[in-house]
Amino acid sequence: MKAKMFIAAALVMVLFLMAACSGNNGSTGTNGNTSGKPSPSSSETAGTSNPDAAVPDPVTLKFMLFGDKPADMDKVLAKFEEVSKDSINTKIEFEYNTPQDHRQKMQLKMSTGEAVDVMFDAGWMNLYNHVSLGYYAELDKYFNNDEYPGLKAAFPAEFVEANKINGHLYTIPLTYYYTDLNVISIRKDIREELGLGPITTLEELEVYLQQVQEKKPDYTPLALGGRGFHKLFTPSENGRTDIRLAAVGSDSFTGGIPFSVALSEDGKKVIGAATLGDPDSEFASFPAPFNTHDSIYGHFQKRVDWSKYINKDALAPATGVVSDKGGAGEGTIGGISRDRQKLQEAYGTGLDIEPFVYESEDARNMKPGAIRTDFRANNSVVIPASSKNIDRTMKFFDWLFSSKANHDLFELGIEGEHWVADGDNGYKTTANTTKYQFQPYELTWNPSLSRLNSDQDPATMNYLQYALDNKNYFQIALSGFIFDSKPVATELAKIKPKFDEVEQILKVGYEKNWLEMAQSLNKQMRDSGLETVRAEVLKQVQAYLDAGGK
Amino acid sequence: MENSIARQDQAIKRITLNKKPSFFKEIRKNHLLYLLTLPGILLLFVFSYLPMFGIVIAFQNYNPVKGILKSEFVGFKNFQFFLESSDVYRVVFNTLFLNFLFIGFGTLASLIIAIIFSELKGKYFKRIAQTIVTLPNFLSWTVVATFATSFLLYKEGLINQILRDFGLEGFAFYNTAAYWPLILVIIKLWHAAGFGSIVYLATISGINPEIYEAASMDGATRWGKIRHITLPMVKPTVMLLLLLAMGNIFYGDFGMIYAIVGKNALLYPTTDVIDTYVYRALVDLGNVSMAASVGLIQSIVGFVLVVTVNQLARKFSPDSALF
Repeated sequence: MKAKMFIAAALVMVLFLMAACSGNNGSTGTNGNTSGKPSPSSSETAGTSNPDAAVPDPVTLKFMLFGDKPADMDKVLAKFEEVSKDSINTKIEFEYNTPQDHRQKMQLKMSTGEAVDVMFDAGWMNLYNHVSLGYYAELDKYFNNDEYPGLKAAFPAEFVEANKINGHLYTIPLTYYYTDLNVISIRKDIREELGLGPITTLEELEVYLQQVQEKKPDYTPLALGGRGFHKLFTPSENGRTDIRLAAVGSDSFTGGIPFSVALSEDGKKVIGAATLGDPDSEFASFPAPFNTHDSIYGHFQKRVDWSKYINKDALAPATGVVSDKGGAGEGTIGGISRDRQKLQEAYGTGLDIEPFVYESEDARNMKPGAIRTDFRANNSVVIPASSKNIDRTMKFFDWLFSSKANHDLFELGIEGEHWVADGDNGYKTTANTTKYQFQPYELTWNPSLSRLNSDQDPATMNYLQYALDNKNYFQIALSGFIFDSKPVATELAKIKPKFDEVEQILKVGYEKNWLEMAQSLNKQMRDSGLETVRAEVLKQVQAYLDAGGK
Repeated sequence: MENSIARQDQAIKRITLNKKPSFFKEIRKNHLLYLLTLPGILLLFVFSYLPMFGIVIAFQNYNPVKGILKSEFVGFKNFQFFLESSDVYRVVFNTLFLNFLFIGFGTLASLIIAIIFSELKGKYFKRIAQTIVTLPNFLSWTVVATFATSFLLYKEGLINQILRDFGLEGFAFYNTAAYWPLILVIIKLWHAAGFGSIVYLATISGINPEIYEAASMDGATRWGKIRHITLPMVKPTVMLLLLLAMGNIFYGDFGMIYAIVGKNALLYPTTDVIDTYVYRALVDLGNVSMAASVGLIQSIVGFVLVVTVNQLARKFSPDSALF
């Protein structure tokens, strides 16, 4: 009898737990579903529940970014709550991931439907994929809307338009300058020690590297980091609209395989798509001078020629750290002042670096219309469709972008403590600047509100000013085109690892017979479905052009 | 003596097997004991069996917004990219080869460390040494990777600097795939062997000291005692742990290899394992279903291996079999 009761009790317990579990599963599932739809209107719950009152109910927003949390973050947030409690009455919790984890963590949070109000996501992370999966809220209605005057002023209509994906805006686009010019940073003190004048051409740069190699044998003439030579030696469209080049994998706009795509002169028809290792016949119909394989992909030969100047193990994980034993390094103009600071802090103030812009010859000479861009912000934040506070979050961004003072607080910290103003658009660092080093490209960057660090050498300053002016850019063809990788996911998953493997080696010029290697890669890619991907690229580009895209 | 106990055990086993009491009788007889196991069974059921329905993702074009129930069913399409890839042989070979090295040398090293510690007499030295060898296990692979680079870089690396001080030519470790199975095994041993020895040490200290005393009386040397008493007595534990390790043999150690090797194509020929390969293939696509399909292949292979090896173990050394 007793035993029977025990069994009965045990069975009831099992059933109860099972029911509880499956019940839970079900409810989170449906939660994810209803709030998963990109309909901001369904989530106006926590927001303005008492419309009569001027001050809305308090709300706490969760932001997920990556990198290091600034030491004085809490101090700045306290100040923020103090100045804004009568207007938006919002608290913010920041969660910082390590850069390596951010991408995966984002995928995880989205696939489990966990509540986040703001996440950093960009084209170089999960943005297009997640938009196509419907994870992110559409934000069109908040921009160019008089209820959100701050956003209206800081985000002009054409800026919003350029950042749309398939006709809708899913991001708050963050940019200061559209392109952070690629530079070789040259050790100024060594150049002077060697008795060389300022470097203005690639030929002079090579002479400098040779001199370092000869006269300073314990130095690496060109110490490269994880991205190798990056875009050094790659060709540019130089304003043409009948071709879109993808000379390296990172320039790919077609699912990670760098297809260069040629269009008819009137820009209405797609002529062809060709990639690394394709025979010249694939390029024959391309507009001159891009009608051969080597005219687009021949830069890999230059990398082989220059590989004698670079570190012997450029692919090792820790390369690219600041060292006093490098004659030059690769980076961007925006990083020059930071690299100089690191170098001087570690090895003494006698060391100095200066920029050599390699973006293109015209950009180096600061000609108008010389910098390549799709006018898409390289960085952005998104609001997951599962957020319950979309309106309140946008109210926060409206507040943030409504005045320079609000904006400065988040971007630079407390005035007088973390920074001091230098004119209307500049700032100077203080002893406490290091305590609040917010990554502005993750939340606040804006062309009309961000301030420029005045602690720059004159050359860098000039280039930064040059990059801030929109007339110095040209818009590449197909800049609004977003490739949908889903129809060829299997092929891409087969090709991508092969391509990456070979490209890493080609990018640092370690393989002398680069062309043979590229051709053998091409054959392997063809065996894995490259032609299917090419057909899909041509189809999607033509569909984009037919729909009026440029 | 040992033999007679084993014989008795087997005799008891045979008796209980012959009896075969009915399920309900058995439960009625031992209901309190079964009740005690209930929380464990529930835990296992909820966290290990219920989520197994998620396997269906591997056969779907899974979209988290639609959920598992509404995602489109696509059969074996997600398995294509991995099974049809020409790289699959290389990554499977590397995974198995590295795991065999890790398991083989790891077990050997752990066993040797355990025996050394069990033979040591100095109390304080033993404690300190034991702490030191288990310590690396608690360092994350990212930290270990930083150590590794500071040793192995061509110009700044410690090893190459020492070699150069002796007037020798340096090694470009990060450019030469052939060194890496050795390097990874050394790092793995340094990291895990000390910690792995704890189980063996526990087994050894569980051996009845009277056996050793009896052996000493019969004139056995120290080495003789290790060979004829310690090793046979830890054999079941070794087999058990080897069996368990078999289940994971198709899983590459992603945390370790990705942190230490990173994105270095020159080293892929010997270091690219299933997990790093799949990561590279899918990181841009973010395709949950394709990743799940590879995970499913890995666990099925692991399952088959455990069952087969266990079957073999039962045949050749019944004491060591898991089930």
